[in-house]
Amino acid sequence: MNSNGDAGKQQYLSDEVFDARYFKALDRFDIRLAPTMWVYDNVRASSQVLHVGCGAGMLALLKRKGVTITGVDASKEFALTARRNGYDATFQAGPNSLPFPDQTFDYVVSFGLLGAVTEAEEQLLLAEMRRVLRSGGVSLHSIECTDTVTDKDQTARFLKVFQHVAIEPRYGFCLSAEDFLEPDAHEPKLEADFLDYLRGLSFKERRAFDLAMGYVFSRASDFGVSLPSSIPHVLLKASDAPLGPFYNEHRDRRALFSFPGTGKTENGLCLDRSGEAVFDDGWFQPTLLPPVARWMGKQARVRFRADDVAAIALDLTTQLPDLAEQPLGLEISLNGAKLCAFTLYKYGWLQLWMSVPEAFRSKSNGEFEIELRANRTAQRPADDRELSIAVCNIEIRGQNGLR
Amino acid sequence: MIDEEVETVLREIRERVISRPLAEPTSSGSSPGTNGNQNSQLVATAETSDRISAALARLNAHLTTTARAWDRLPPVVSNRSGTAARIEVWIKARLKVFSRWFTWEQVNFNAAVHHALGETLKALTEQGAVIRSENEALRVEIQTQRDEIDTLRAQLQADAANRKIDLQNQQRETNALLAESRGEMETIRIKSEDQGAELRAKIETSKTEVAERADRIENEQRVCFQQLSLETNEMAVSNDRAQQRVRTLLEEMNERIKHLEDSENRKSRS
Repeated sequence: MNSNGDAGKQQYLSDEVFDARYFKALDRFDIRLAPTMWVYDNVRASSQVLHVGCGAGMLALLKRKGVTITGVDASKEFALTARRNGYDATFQAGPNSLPFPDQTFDYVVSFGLLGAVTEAEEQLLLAEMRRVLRSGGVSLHSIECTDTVTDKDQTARFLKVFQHVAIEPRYGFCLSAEDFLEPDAHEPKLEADFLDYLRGLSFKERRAFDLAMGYVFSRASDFGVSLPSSIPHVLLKASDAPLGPFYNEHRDRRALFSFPGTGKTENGLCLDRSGEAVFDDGWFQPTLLPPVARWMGKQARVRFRADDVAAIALDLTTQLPDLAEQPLGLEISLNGAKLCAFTLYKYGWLQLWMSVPEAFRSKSNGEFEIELRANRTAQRPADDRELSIAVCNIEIRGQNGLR
Repeated sequence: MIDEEVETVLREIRERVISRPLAEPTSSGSSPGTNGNQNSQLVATAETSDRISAALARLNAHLTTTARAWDRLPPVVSNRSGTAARIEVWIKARLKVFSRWFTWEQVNFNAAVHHALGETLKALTEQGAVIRSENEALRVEIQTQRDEIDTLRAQLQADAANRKIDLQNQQRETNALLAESRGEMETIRIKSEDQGAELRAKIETSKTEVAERADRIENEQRVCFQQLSLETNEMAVSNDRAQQRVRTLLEEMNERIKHLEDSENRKSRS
């Protein structure tokens, strides 16, 4: 049991970090996070959510709304990964026997879990979900319908357990580049030249495509655009209480852009998890190396606000090939002024500590931007991203921190 | 007549005397069986046989002489001539009558000797024939044994040759096996040396790798602990702030409660 029924995809996703503290606001448009955003906009702040088949923890973003998230997965590894990504509790258990008392959660969520089981199994699952739902609680599901089980069938099945069911076909209309290139058997066939075009896209172009698709998806949802029911992938809401709006029932996205109180330390500020820091698109998604670090391409920036910046400390590493023969040149600037430049010729983590001159600080006006530049990048095996270095533990220290 | 016989007897005696020196060196030849081998024994036996034959021949010759006169009285003859001869023969004839008593005795004796020698010759001849036949049988036996020995020797030589060939083949095979074994041992030695060198190199590489890995892990752990430390620090700061907020809220609530209590007291007084 996992969140979307695709073990390979989950394996890929399991390297990614879904921890809410590392979330980049722009990713709200990523089509791959569309179900997460749908749930995010449909749960109340500070509610109790159960994620059945939690996988690597795609709902970790809900922590930004102060939600308490509990995950259940048949796989111990996935349960541990979800816990690592910020779930409050995870359990290794089958969906037919959820290890919780009756009426524990406000919401029960599943992605790709239903639709892959028989009707009898689905009925058992739904009954179990209903058992742990509080009175008036809502279950939210992303379901992949098949030729034999249509959206109408799904509605009928849910109506046997819940009094109110709402369903919206979605994912045939907006898919990620990856989903287009590896379509399910029952998804519509696409034109060959379009697929060839998709295959030729670089990582950043694919990301742009996914963001564009996510944007369209988001707009279509916001405007309540009706899509034909022949689309196989559906979103479904069910409850014993009357349902509210299908989209954005509890929309409050402020926490996506600012997550106050995070990243502050006794001596200053750690930018990695700071809600005040903005990592631009030169950075890739945080990855668990370990530790959790961000890879960058040739150039990346991070903006932040601070009253005082006396020193900057960070850890960096690289996996570029032939480092001894072709050392990696790195340059770090603060607000456009070069802070340091050096050459990396050895693998392993390098701890960097840079003192910021007084002249730099006085001109800043409290707004800072650190820019890192690398003189070359390379692709790792089975990864088409152009990477140079991975960075973590970016710590900003004020004068107090130096003492 | 008598004269002619006497001449014949004398001639024979002369011939025997002449022939003796020729026979003696033969009889005084090398003694038989001194060298111990069969050929020498055979030669010795043949020589002995010849010597016996020669002795028997001489005995036979002597018997021929005795056979002519063993039963007679010696003739009355003279080497003189003329009157002296006649006188001598007359005297001898007269004396003949007076010496008849012992001459007859001599004749008898001669007869006995002649017969005894004849019997001895016959016995010796028979004995010689027996000895010769035994010698012949012995020679045949020796020849047979020699043939057998030759056959055995040939067989032994053939066996020896075969065994020699076998031994040579075995030696060759052994040498080949030995060479092969040495080759294999050399190969094993070289291989074991190579493996040893390879193993040493691997150990060295592993050592280096382990050391590098340990460094890398230590380094990685340092960064992880640093991250953990920062996270803990962040949590501590946020906890402090939350506690302060709670304290502030509590103080505000207390103040409000006080205000409420004061206002109620004032109301009750008024």
